[in-house]
Amino acid sequence: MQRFFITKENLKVLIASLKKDCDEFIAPKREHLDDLVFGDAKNEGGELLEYEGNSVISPRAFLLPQTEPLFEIQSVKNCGFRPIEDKKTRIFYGVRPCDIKAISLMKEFFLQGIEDTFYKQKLEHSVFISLACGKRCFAKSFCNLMDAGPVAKEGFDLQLIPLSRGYLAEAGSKKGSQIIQKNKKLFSKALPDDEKEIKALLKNFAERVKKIDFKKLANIMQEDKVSPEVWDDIGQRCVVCSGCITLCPTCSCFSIVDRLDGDKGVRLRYCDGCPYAGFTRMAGGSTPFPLHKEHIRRFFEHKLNVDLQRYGTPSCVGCGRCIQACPGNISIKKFIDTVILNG
Amino acid sequence: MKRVLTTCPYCGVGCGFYLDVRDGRIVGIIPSKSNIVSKGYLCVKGWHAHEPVEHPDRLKKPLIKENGKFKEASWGSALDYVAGRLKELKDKYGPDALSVCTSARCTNEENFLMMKFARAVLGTNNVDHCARTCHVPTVAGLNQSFGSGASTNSYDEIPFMDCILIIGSNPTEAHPIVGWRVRTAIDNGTKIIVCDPRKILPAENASVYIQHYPGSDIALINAMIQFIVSEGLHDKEFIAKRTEGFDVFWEVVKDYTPESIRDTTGVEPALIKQAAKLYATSKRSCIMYSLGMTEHTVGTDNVIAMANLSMVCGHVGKEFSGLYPMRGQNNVQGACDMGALPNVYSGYQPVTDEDVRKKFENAWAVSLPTANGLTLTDMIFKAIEGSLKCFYIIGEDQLRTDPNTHWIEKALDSLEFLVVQEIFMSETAKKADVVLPGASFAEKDGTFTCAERRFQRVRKAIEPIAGKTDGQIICELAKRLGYPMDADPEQACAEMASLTPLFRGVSFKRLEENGLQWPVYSKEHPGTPVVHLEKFIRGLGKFIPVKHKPPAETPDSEYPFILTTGRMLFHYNTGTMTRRTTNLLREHPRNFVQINPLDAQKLGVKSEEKVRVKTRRGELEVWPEVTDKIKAGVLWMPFHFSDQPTNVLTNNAFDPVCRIGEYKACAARVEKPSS
Repeated sequence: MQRFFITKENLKVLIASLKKDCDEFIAPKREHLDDLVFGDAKNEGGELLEYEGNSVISPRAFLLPQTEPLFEIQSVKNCGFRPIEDKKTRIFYGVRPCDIKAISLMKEFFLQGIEDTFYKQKLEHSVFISLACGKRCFAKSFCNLMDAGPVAKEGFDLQLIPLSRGYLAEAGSKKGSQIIQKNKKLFSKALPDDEKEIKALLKNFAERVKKIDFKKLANIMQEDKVSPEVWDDIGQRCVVCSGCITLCPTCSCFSIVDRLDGDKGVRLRYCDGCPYAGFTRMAGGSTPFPLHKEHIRRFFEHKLNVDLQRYGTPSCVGCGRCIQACPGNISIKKFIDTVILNG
Repeated sequence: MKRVLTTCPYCGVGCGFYLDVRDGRIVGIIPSKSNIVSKGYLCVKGWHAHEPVEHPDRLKKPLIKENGKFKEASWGSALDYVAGRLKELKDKYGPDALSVCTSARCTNEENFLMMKFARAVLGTNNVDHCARTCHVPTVAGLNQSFGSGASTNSYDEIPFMDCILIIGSNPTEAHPIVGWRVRTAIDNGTKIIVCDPRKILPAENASVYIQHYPGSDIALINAMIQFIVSEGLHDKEFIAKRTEGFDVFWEVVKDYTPESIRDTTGVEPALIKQAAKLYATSKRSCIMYSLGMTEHTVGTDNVIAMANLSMVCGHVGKEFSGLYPMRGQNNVQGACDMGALPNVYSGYQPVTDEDVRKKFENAWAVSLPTANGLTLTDMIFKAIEGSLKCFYIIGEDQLRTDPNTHWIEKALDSLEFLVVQEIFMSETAKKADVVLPGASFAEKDGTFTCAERRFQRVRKAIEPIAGKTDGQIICELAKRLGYPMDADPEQACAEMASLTPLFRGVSFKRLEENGLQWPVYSKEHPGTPVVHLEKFIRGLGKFIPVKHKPPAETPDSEYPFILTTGRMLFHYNTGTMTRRTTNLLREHPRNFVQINPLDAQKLGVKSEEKVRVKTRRGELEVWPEVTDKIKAGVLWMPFHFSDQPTNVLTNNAFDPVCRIGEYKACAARVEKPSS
């Protein structure tokens, strides 16, 4: 893959030009104090070209919002409905490699087999520009252990890797190549020193890190060899806040509900998932997994065991958001370490 | 597309989050990591706080009842009508025939305007709100003991305590982000003491778990004090230097040996001694309590008993100590602070104090009523008696929240005029002559004050769905009654600050970053994370002897169980919002009663068969949850389900001082529906 170089000044020019090509330019912004959140910078401005850390909530929130109207119910009696379409073109700038990997995995889920038209529509109108990480975003993140950082391997349209003199740029798709092609005046060829700098960055991330044996981890879980105390402890900690499944960039579960006002209304889909007992409760009231600890186990099994078999890679991307939001101080990283250590 | 930073509208913890607004619709919640209260953590209710806001059931038009049926009306005609009736009733019966119930769900500024409306416009001190049914004993009790009726310390000290005594409070479910701090404390090695008839989650990790009977708290706490003092574990220096009245107090408490109260509490003396020793000898000890302590006929005394315990050990008036009254509603602290109480103006300034009254009279250019008004409880009594004719209720569902539903119903039916300002058609609203559609937290600017006395900003994300904020409605009525008031929240806040020494330094500008903890005595004052440092607000801390009194109704052969009630994680109060949130409703769709397996076996109660819970006031058929988490002889029910309202069972017996109802203990029996 050919790599290019772009200066910080030229990146600003590029972004100004890209903003003209889309309806929404979704970029990281600083909100109150240190809160980093993705928002539309085309109409509001305020994008951060470079930033440390990661956004509170991943860009998933734009492709699968917490609550999303799917179609308008014009009349229940007459079966009248009108689809709600989202054809806005969006450029996502500054997406971290962990979230890029997550989007790739979500794509598999939503587009393989039965296509989710609502998701697909948004995805097709999106361009993803990844911004690789110069350093670990916080002590609890572990993207480098989950094959998800600090530099994205695939799944982006364009990737920028910060260097001391600017950014290394690489296209990961046709859309990305077109951006470089269209703005080629802004790019130059990458120099051997740039490549060296990136190698040093990767080496720096890899140091003092023991790779996780995903297969071993999945096997232990599959064979139900995780010590019962580990699950018991988790069961006593989870307070079903749903923060983990709402923040997780690879959680894809949703349910639907009709919000009716008389004969009219809207069908919504909303985030749903593992922590809820009601998620798998049968109509008659019985629940296949009644215990609290089993609900979080469901979450961990999906990320670390089932998806490894399905996609060949775990779907935990090590962003650490679930750890940072858990009022029970549950840590998937600590879980992985404990299981591997005792396995 | 915008993200609007605001404060959670549910419990009293005061978490911060962004409302994620796209195309004029709120699509989600983004936690604020920079918020000093919640630090990026939220509970399941907070994560779904946007869902009820744009629910189709929202009231959108004023409704006027004609021949028993509601008819939609324009704002103009509804407000004209309400103002006309209020004036007519005031002229006919005098101002004290009218009363206002303000809302702990509304902002500080709105509560200030509402209490001003009651006092300056209607001319009555008959103004109160739902603190009457939750933490008014805290205001009354701690005020007597310490001189200030609010939390003494701040949330961020909790994870660093050596010992936390949790009594009558379930932080995990009722105040989850304080629950997170308790969890972190446990992870840090803090010793936990839980006293609760239910084995709540923190009890699983507690060093001492005391499962006492509802209504035996004073006996329990006095016994702890008795043991501490007789073992010489009390803080003699603290008692000598910072308190008064110890000797008189000791005369009363010295007979409460742990052995002597074994039958009253149902607890082994050894456990009480262990808990007492742990609390007294830990360097950093605090007490966390909630409605399990306050909602009793001895609610005020319960609070005083805890204040006594903290003073005996010197565990108050310094960092990493104190009492944490966990406030129930987003702004119940604020509604109290703003003077939405019948005896005080904002900042707890007595209405009977002539200097204070003159100050308000000068500022408001009216003459103000001189006598204390009626409490919410006494408004009900007076309505039934016939001297109270009109009730203006904002954002509260008395028919579902007050004890003994049938009695409340009778009171509401006795009124000549009932106005209810609500966001959903509540059971109380159904009884109204006029329903005015209010605005939710997402539709207004203002401030809420959380349980650690912190003022925090509330910011408007969308326009009011029915067109007006609650503050605007009140001001429009005031104007029609000949007294113009300004609904602008920032203006109201400034007026409040100028009239209230305790909050003088509060302004929207100063709250921008991370809010302010009162007292804030001046524009330069940094706020007060820990109160009573070096000196109690009242000077010396006062030991007030309190004695055990049984609940108004105790078990007998006819009604052999003690029924107690409470909040659960997935729902909030009457459930008007949480039952309109899909995930929350699905998790717990219906009412139930917790019963101990021993009792269940005796009665032949099985999980798959409904039971009838009966008290002297009413009965309900609900599903039993047979669990050893509840003490034998005790039943527990949540109160969130409007279609199976638990408060038909609870007792309308009241604390003589602060008039709170006894939700936490009444006599009940369990029957099989077939019998």
